[in-house]
Amino acid sequence: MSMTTILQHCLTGISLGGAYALIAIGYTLVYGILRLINFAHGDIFMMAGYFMIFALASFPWPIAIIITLTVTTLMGIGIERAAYKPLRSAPRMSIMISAIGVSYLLQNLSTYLFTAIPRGYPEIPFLKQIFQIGTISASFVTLLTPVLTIILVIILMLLVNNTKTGMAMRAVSKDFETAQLMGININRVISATFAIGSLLAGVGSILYFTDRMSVTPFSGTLPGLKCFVAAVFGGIGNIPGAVIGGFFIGIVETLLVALGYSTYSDAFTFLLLIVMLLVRPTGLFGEKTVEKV
Amino acid sequence: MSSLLDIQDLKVCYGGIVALNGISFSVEEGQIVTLIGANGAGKSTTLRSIMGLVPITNGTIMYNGEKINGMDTRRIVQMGLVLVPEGRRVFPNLSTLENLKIGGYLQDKASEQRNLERVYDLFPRLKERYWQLAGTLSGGEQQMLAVGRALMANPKMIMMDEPSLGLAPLVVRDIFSIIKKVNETGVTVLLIEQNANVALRTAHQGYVMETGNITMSGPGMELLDNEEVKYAYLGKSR
Repeated sequence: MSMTTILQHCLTGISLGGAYALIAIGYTLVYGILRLINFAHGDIFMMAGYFMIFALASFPWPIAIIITLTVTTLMGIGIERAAYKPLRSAPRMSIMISAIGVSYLLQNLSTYLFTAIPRGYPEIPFLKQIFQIGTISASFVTLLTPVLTIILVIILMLLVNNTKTGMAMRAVSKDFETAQLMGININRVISATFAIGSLLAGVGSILYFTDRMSVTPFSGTLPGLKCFVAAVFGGIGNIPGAVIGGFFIGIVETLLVALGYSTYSDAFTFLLLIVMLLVRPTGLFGEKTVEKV
Repeated sequence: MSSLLDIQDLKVCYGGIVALNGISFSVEEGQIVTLIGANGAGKSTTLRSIMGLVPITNGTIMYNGEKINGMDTRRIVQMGLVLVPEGRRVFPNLSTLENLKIGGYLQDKASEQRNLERVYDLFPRLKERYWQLAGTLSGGEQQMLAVGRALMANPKMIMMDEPSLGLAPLVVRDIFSIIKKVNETGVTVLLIEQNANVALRTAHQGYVMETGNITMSGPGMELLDNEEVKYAYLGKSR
């Protein structure tokens, strides 16, 4: 393989990793606050794909993007309100089962509404523009994804570490009841968390599907699981960890395909999950938690 | 003097278990009042139900002339009634300063600054350690932080759930002298303690709780001299 091809694949991998990272943040944020693995997150990502298809059918792309992100964010908040909030004081397993239920609901609802036949993802012309850097050529979206991911992560970290809402989020993630005693509105903080997670999944969805041509009701399943693994790999609950996990899985997966092992590229992700859980269950940057009895 | 907090016939059940069996007591403005009693007497439940963390089955809770049962915890905090929870419960992943700031979550910037100075005056140690993660503070410092955090809400009345829990005797003495100091600045205090000796010495008024009922009441020093109390809570042998 020539140097050019290797670089070309690396770029593709970094780009895919960026999209994964954006989705993985959603898992990690929600887990950090609710200790819930939001199994519906991958399907929110898939729904965002459909929203974009329909929005772009009738609006110019900047408005379509805004509509897609808004609707996706609202859907995330709505799902939390309807399926998780009523279970706030229920055992953790119940809310997890509810999340699995929402995941199937979204998949089947979209199969019913949009059929299981793949729908072409519309092209946003400026994203598909081809750039030539030396011997490597890449579409604009490939270059944009990692850059945008990093910018969004920096903004998110500033928000979490330096604002009042961010402080409330960190407090709520440690201790619901005491946070309440401070006068923090728990439900609002949780809604904000789902809003941010879904918004980032929406952005990730636009970047991911622009490179993939089509959306089906099950398009969210595998990327969703992979991003969950990315979050676990980085240490679930830890934002930079999820980002690193996302990039890592994206790059390795792309390189495996490039080397001709495409059959194993998905298997790798789950092998990584198994190894990580065996060797270092808290992930790269996860903190050790002591379960209180 | 008028009652700042007035509780009538408060009953709380957890499932089928009666935790509070219709208790009544009141806290006069400007006083330190203590509820003493053994484990499981219902002391913490009392405070938690006042803050709206536990739904009540029956009774009324009047604070500052307003009925607060069924009210949102947030509203109660806004009205100047705060709770320092049992076991301190500082946010270990936040710095000392952030813990204080979050205590004043409902305050505006100017009042946050004012309260912060007041807390730093009371607890110079917290100022020295403002950057440190609260989880790395010692037990005594965490208790100071928990009290300071509550004061950040600019409370009219502060309730404390076992501030002496797990602290060395000398530290307990410090904490109680701070409680007195806070009270002297005009903050009403409702104190829950298993350490009956130090609590009754500090308090103007005391109540003794046993399995969901209030069985005795009187001025702190009077209860301290009571034979029953001496026997049950102060380790005197019959």
